[in-house]
Amino acid sequence: MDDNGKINSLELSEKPIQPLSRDYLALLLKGKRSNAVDLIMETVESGAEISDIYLDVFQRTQYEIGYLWQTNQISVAQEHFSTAVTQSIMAQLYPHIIHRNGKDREIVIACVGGELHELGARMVADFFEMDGWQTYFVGANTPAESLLETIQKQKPDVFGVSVTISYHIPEAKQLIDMIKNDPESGNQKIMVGGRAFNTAPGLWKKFSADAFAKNMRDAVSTANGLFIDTIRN
Amino acid sequence: MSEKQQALKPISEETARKLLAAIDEITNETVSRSMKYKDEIEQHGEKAFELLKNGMYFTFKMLFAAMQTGETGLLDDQAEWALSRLPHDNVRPVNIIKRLERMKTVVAEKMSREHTQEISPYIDYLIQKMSRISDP
Repeated sequence: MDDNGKINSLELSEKPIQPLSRDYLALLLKGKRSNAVDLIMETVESGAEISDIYLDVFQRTQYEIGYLWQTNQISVAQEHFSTAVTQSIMAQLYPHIIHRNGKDREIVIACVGGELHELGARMVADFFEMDGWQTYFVGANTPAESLLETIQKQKPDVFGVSVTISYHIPEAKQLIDMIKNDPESGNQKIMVGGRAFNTAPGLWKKFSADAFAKNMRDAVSTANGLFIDTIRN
Repeated sequence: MSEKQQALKPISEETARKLLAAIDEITNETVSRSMKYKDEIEQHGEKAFELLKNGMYFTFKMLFAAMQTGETGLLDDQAEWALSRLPHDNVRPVNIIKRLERMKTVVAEKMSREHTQEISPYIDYLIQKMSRISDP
């Protein structure tokens, strides 16, 4: 591994990166899937908080992988490989995450129709799971009509909508309007997030959304905060 | 809103409907006109038309998202991304800007004057943003 902001002669972004993230990233870039899995599992078994792994390793690495593709230093295939490895490790961590004595609260989390970037939303779902929520993670590219049916059926306490690519913002608006105008789900609490909303932090207020979360931890505290007044009243 | 983001009004629902209905016509015409400029497309070879059409459609959708919400911040992000990534795909910033200018012309031809007055400021914003970033 090189030094001075490089891994394997690839120029990293200027964002600071912790040693564990660098090691994980280096293994991904070398295509060493099993080594990458071992690194994370051993770190978890030695007592590391999974939430810290998500934030400081997985999210940080995804950012760097995106930067390396954007600057044409890695291919689409390498980017997809790295994402797939992270997803497979998250699946292996799930038994560590499930909260068996959880809260009596449910969140449905989905990406809007056409939105294929689901990893961030999945991490958010896992954060809710870690906080004791029941999570119903729908994933990528789900048509608005199907999401409305899901909301009508599940009646979650919160519906989380994720948008990564800005041009899916109109789909998010359409979805939120559809839910809020439906007699069955009109009172549904909706929280939005994802890179597109982070690009325009005031945007959510122009929709009928009830809240906006800028990251995984914020999503959980914001969702919990939606019910504090309810408890007090 | 940051100082750098210009305050633009969201387009009306009627303009949005008309614009969406015209998306294929506008992108096809913009691309057809662009194909006449060999110096802009020769590096793409036989894939030129498909590449330009996909790129124009992508740009249109980005513009539409900004227009519908009045959020020019979405275009700031798009401009920075495009200028960072697209040269690696052999797409030159100067050509993106030319195609945006052609799109603006096509919009003015295909849409009513009232609708065009709502739409054009967003195209102008993106052109100015990309021009500023690519030639500071």
